[in-house]
Amino acid sequence: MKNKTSLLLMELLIMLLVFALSVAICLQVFAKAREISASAADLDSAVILAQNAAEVLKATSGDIEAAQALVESPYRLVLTELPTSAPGLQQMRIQVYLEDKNLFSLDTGWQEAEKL
Amino acid sequence: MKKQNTYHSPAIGSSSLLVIFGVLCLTVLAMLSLRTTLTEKQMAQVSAQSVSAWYQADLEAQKIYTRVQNGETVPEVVLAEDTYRYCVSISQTQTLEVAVKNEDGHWVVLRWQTVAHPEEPNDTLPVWQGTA
Repeated sequence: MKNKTSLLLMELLIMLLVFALSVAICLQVFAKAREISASAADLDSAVILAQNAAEVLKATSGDIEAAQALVESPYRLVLTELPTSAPGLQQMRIQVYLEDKNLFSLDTGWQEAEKL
Repeated sequence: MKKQNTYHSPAIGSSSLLVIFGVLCLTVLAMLSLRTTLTEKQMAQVSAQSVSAWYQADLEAQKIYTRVQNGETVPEVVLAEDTYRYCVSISQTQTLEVAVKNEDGHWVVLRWQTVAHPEEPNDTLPVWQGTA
């Protein structure tokens, strides 16, 4: 009887250790999954922001203030004018930043207002 | 008669079974959630790539349009019935088709459309013809 009890206690102890180890590993996996999900959501938001900014720039023939007004914290929009390859065409690089990380960038262009 | 108090200890191995079941459930849940988020990340990257490709093609089309407006002869542009037509590739299955016209000195965009060209299914079956 005493042997059976001690065997049972030993088994319980080992099972408790195994369970604690597996919980620790699974929690790390959950944390990693949450991190990946957050970065995917950030990328989606950055793509939408950049697209909106590109369409505003094209519609207003380069109104940078109107494009910047679309930005929501914590994202940051960086607009860089690119050298034009053809007279009458304006080009701009739109970059979306979160803290110091560049999430997404795209180049867009539009006709100068006088040409329309 | 004296009543004998018998003590029945829990069966050895029952806690092991419970813990194994719990660990299995936790592991499956963790793997499924990781798989789901990896798929989400992949979808976000494909979407970003698709948007980037479209705007790249759009910029290229704008450049060609500007060159046509400036009177340059562009090899990709076809002139038919006073209408300039050209295509810019977006991806393997999509192209941006453009048609512009000069009406009395005023340029009009007749078409600026993304057209999908789905890949043709490969319905050929390589069969041995009997020759060496």
